[in-house]
Amino acid sequence: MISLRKIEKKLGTFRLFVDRLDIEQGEYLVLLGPSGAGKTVLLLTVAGLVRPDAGQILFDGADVTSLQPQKRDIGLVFQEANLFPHLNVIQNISFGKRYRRERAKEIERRIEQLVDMLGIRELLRRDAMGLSGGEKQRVAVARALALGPSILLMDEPLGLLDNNTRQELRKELRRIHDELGTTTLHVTHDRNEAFTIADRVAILSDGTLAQVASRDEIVARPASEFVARFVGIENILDAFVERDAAGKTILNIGECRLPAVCERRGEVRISISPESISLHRELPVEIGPENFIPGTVRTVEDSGAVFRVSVKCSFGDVVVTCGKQDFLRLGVSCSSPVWLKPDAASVHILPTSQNPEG
Amino acid sequence: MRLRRADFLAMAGLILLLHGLLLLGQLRSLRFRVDHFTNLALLFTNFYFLYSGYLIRSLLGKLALLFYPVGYGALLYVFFVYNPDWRALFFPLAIIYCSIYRLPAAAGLFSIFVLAHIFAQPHPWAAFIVVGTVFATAYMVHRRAYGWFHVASLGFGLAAFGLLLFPIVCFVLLDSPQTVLETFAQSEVALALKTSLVSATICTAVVLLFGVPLAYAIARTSFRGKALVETAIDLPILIPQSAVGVAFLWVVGEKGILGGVLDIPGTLFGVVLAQMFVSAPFLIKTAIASFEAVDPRLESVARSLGASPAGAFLRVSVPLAARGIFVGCILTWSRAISEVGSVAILAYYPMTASVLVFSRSTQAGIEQARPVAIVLILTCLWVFVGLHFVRSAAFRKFVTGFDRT
Repeated sequence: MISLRKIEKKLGTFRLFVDRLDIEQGEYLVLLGPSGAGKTVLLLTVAGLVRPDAGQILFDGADVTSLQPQKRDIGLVFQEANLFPHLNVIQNISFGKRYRRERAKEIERRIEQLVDMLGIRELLRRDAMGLSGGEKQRVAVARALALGPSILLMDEPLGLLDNNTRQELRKELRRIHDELGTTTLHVTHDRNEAFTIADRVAILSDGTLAQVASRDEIVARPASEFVARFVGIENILDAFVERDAAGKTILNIGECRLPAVCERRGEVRISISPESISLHRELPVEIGPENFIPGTVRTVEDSGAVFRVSVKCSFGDVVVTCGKQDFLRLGVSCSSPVWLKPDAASVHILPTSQNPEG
Repeated sequence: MRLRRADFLAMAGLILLLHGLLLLGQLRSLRFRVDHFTNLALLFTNFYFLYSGYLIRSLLGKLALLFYPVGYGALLYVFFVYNPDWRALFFPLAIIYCSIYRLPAAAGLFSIFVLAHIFAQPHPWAAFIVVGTVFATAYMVHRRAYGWFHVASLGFGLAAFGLLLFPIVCFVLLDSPQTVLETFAQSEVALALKTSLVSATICTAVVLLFGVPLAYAIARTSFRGKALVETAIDLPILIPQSAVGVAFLWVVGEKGILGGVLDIPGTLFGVVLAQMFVSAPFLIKTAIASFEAVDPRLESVARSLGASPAGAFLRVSVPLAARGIFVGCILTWSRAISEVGSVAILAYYPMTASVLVFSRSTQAGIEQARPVAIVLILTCLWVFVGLHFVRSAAFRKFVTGFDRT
C-alpha cells in the first residue's frame, strides 16, 4: 500500500498539498485533473524524482520520503515513452536487470511473460527509434514492469497515441493490471480514460485533491461543482432549500418541489444526471404539477443510442436523455412545451466548502 | 533508339562538312598541318560527337542542345587550333565531353576541370578542387528543390570560403611528396611533431577527464551564478594567447609566485598547461550542448530501473552525448596542436611543431618554415577526416551499436 501524508510542494506560486491519499495493494488509481493541477508533480514525488517540502510517503508502512528513486522499487512510464535510443528493444526492457543480479532468473521469466502479454516479441531486436508510437509505449510498459515493481507510475501514457491505438492500449493496460496485480498510479487529463480504466479516480484541482472515489460515486455525488463540471455532468442547476409548514425539508428546482435531506437552507447548487430526468408531453393527471418543471425544447441531438434533448426552463437549460423509441412516441419537436420530472433520489446537492464561489 | 537511313545520311554529311572545314583550315596555314593518324582520330571524334548528340538530343532542353556544339567547338579551338602542343589531349577530352554532356553534374565538373587548366595555370589542381567542391555542393542543393535563394547563398558563401581555403590547398599541393618526406626525416622536425602530438593528446585526455563531468553538471543543474560559470568557461577564448603565456609565467615561472614549488617552464607539462588553458572551452562547451540535448527523463527512467545517478550518467547520458563529446575532443585537440603564443612564452622548449614553424619563419625565413608547415597541415588533415567521419551516420551506428543484437 502506498500512503501519502500531508505532502506539500511549492513550485513558484503553485502549491501542491495532498493531505491524505492511500493507494491500496493491487489497486488501479487514476489521477485526473486539468493541466497545471499538479498531477505530474505528485507522480514524480511518489517516484522520488521530486522531493516534497513537507510530508511523508509510505510504501507498505515504511517511510521512503528521502529514499532515492533507484531504491524505491518503482516502474515509470512517461508520455513520450522515452526509450533509450542507443539500445534496441530487448536491451531497453532488460536495462534494469544488471541492478538486480540476485533476481536475474526471475526477471528473465517475467520479461518473457510481459513480451507475450504485450505482443512485442517480433520487435525485440528492433532499434528503439524505429517503432511506432503504440509500439514504443508497449515497450516502455514492459520495461517498467520488468523488475516486478511494487508500484507502476504512468504519466499520460496514452496521451500522444492516435485514437484507435489509445483505445486498444487502454484495454491492455487494464488487462495487464488484472493479470499481474501491480499497484498502479496513472495520470491523465482525459476523464473517459480515467473512468474506463480505473478502480478509483483521484481528482486533483489546483494542487489539492477534490475527490477520491469510484466512477459511480463521483458521477452520482460529485464533491464540488468543479468536480461535477470536470467530469462532464451537464446539469448543474440553481435550487432553493426551505422548510415547509409541516416541518419537512423541501428542495425547489424552479417550479418543482422535491422532498430532500439537507442541513443547509437557502440557495444551493445541485447536480443531476440527464438519465435521471424523465420527459413528458402532458402533465399526468394523477400527480400534482409541483413534481414537474415546465419548459420548452430548445435542441434535439442524436447521439447514437439516445437523443439528448436540451430543454429551456425558467432558471436555465436542462439536458435530458431519452430513448429513441420513447422520444418518437412522445412526438415533441423543437419549441414544443414539455414537462420534466427529476428523480428525487438522484438529485445531488453540491457541497459548497470546496468551492466558495459555487 | 533506332536510326533511320535519312539520319545516317545527314550525319555522314555533317561529318564530312566538319572535317572538310578543318582540312580547309589546314590548307590555309602551315600551322594546322596534321599527320594521317591525327586526321583519322579527328574523323572518329567528330563522328562520336555527332552520334552522341543524336542519341541525347531528346533528353536535353533547347538551350542545352545549343551549347553542345559550342562546348565542342571551344575544346576544338583551344586544344587543337590555339595550342597545337595539346593536340594529343584533345581526343580523350572530346570523347569524355561527348559522353557526359547529358549528366549536368559531371559536365559541370568537367568544364571546371578544363577551364581551371586553361585559366588558373600556375595552380590548376588547387583551383579545380576549390571551385569544383563549390559547384558540386551547390548542384546537390539545387537538385533538392530548394529555391534559388538557398543555392545562391550556399554558392556565394562557399565561393568566398573557397578563396580563404585556396592558399592552403595550393600550399599543400605545391611541394612534392619527396620534400615532405625529407622534412619528416629531419630530427628537429620529427621531434617537434612528436611533442605536438603527445602534448595535444595528453591535453585532450586531461580536459576530457574533468570537462565531461563538469559539462554534465552544468547541463543538469541550475544554481545561482550558473551564467557566470558558463561565461568563465568562455574566458580563455577571449584572452589573447600571449597574455595567457605571460600570466602563467608570472605565476609558475622561475621567479614566479609558485616558481619554487613547481618546475614548469621548459617542460612538456608546461606545454600541456598552456594548451589546456586555450583549448578546454571547446570540449566543455560542446559537451554541455550535447548533454542538454539528452532528455532528462531518460535518466529518470534509468533511475527508476535501479541505476544510481552515476550509473544513469555512464549508461545513458554519456553514450547519447558521445558524438558531441567526440567532436569536442577533436576541436580541443586541434586547438591544442595549433597553439603558439602562450606555449612559446611559457615553454619554448620542448618545441612543438607550431612553435617550430613560428620560429623558423621569423629566424630562417619562409622557405625553411614551409615544409614543416605542410607536414603540420597534413597531420591535421587527418583530424578533418575524423571530424567528417563523426558527423556521418555511420559513426552513430559505430558508437551506439544499434546493429548489435
